[in-house]
Amino acid sequence: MQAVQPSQGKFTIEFPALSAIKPERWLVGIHIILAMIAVVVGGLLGPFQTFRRAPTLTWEIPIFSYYYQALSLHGVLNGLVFTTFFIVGFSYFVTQRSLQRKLASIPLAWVATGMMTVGLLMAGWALLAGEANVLYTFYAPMIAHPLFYLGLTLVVVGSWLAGLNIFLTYIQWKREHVGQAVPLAVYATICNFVMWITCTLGVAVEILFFLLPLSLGWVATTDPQVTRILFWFMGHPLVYFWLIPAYTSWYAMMPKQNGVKIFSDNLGRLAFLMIMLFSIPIGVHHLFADPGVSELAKVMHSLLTFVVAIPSFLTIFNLAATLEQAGKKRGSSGRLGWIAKQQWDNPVMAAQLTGMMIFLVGGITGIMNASFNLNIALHNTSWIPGHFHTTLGGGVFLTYMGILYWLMPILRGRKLFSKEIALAQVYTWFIGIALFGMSMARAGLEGAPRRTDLGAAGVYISPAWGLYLNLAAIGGFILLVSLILLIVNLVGTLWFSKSEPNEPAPIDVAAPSDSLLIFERWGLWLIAIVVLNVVMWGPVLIQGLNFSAGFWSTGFQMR
Amino acid sequence: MAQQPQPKLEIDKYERTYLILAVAMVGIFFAAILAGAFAFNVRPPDAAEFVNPLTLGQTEFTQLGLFDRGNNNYDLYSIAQMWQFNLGPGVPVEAGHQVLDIPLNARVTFHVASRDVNHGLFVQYHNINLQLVPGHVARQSVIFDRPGTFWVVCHEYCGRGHHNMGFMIRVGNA
Ligand code: HEM
Ligand SMILES: [Cu+2]
Ligand SMILES: [Cu+2]
Repeated sequence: MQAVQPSQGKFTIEFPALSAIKPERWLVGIHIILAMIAVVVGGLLGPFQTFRRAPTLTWEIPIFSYYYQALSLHGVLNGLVFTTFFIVGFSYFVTQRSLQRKLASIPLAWVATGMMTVGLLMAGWALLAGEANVLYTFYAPMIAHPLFYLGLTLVVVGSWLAGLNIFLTYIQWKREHVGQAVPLAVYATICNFVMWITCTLGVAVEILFFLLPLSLGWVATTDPQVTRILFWFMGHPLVYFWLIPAYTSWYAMMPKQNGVKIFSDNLGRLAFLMIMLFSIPIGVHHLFADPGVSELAKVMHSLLTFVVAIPSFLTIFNLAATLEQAGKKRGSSGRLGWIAKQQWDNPVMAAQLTGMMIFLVGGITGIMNASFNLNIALHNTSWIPGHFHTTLGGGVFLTYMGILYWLMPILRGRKLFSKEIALAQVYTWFIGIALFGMSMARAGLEGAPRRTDLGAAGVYISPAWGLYLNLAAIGGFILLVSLILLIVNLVGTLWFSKSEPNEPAPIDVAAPSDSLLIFERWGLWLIAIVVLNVVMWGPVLIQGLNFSAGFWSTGFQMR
Repeated sequence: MAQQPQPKLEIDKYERTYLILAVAMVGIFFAAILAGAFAFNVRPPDAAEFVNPLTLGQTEFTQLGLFDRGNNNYDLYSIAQMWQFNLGPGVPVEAGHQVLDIPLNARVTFHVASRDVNHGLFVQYHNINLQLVPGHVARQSVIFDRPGTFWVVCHEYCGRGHHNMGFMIRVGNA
């Protein structure tokens, strides 16, 4: 297996390994900075939520003393804003570098950035003003200020334009490289945006036809079950939207950071393809407890959820085999010696390795959630935030930090402020999330609910939860320390670092010669996506809409 | 331009074995779930009927409370609303919470509907977990086969008083 020499096209640019060129520095930079501001502000609330929920503390959250306003901010800023901005910035970077050309349209990219930023300001204002205490799922018939919905819509539509730009860039590259497979990182990016644009159609319909008119007073009533169906059409692919960039880092960058090749490029492609195809028609696994969805749909979506576990199992093998090669190359001995030979002292690698380890826990707990009757014991308990802080807050977040620690220096043109602080940040996060996640999960099994201000006066706390809620607060404290370390490094790298970057951008500009082109049969895959979703979601939506009943609920302002 | 000859998909022999095992494992997991559902009857709620949340008083939710149907079978009718579960008249309140007494080994079918926004209902340590979506009746049956006092909470955020929405179930007058 050898890399094909990419043919040089008219628009080919040689990117410098250790610095950024103009269409990268600002365009990518702004997304990364806004993402980091979001996660710092949103993240800082997290530890205080755990302190509030711990029976021995029950401290009020500073500044945002209303628990559900804080939680709305935490969910929206971390889950929607941080992720979307980071992913768009990272995807631009990966596409341009891998394809060795500028985006198809830089002006279009700036329009998208403008829309997303204005959207962020609108939704951010509504949240800060207490006009959107509806959590990041904004279930009808709760209503928020219209600007909240408009803001989110702008962020989503901006991200569509970003995806469109990436598709156009790919098409242009393809014209100059007939018969060549696209590099794996770009393949993953395209899969991600195909999936994202498809699934966000659901939430776009939800906002434009249900929530916004209700919030503006143009309609008097709405149908909560239908809005939940539309929301979760997007909701599960959303988690894969977060995950694919992390997988991209593991599959396409980590091998380069270790001087080896990915064990199997083609099975990597298969994993991304399967995620693109199967992550949408499984979203009913978030509606297992809903009264307006049939049991048959629940069983079928549960089954397909298990199918989409297969690419993750593939990933475990592929990555472990790749890391084993890397360890052997460094002279490891014995069956497991390669584990010790990883770059545990390099923050970029340590973040990814710890991220993978914690994601393993997330994956296993995810299979438990998806088991449609086991879910009865887990749905809406603290188990769920326990689970997704090991996936999103653990595997994905740590891997994004692993990306940040090489990407930010390149964009800023200065070395990472402190490697030691970065390492400390990674390991404290790992320990904190492990403790927090485990304690939240256990509290959930004992019946502690999620999304609940357990520190408020008069709330019943079962004695069985107390210990675990307190342990979660200790995890929260460790995470607070980690966040502060992150802030120090961010500020340090932006303004106080002096020397040149030393960690090259780990981007491959060509696929191995045995990469299959069948994975790029987009027409075929689009048809498959449409068919799968019509079959899996059509009946659910029609049952929900039931044109002779429903649409009775009046809106409730959540101030 | 000429197409390059297409390479074939090659899968390492260990990876193939691993894949087969992974698929088999997932298959076994799923079989276990189906067995749990259909042999042991641990099942999520099926789609029940629509109900207008604004006119609940004219439906099966006219009379709320626990009804004895004989043979240890009971029906519980309740309306969820900001921020309490309406369990009908005569439910004692202890330390600020309603306490519903249920005989040991009773099989209780919950029928619950929301009057306003989304709510949720689950009973600590029992196989019942319902999303109460306005516009639909939620139904699920559960057997109370262990004595004790269990907390029932609203598990879906429903506004300012969400954390105060709950009640207790006392089984076998423990
Ligand atoms: C600083 C470390 C963090 C701590 C201590 C923390 C803590 C928490 C807690 C306690 C909850 C649940 C509160 C409740 O259900 O009542 C929560 C919810 C959540 N967290 Fe975090 N979190 C942290 C970081 C993050 C990060 C980095 C992300 C994502 C990138 C994230 C995403 C979320 C989301 C999406 C929710 C769900 C909100 C909802 O249920 O509406 N968190 N967090
Ligand atoms: Cu999901
Ligand atoms: Cu509630």
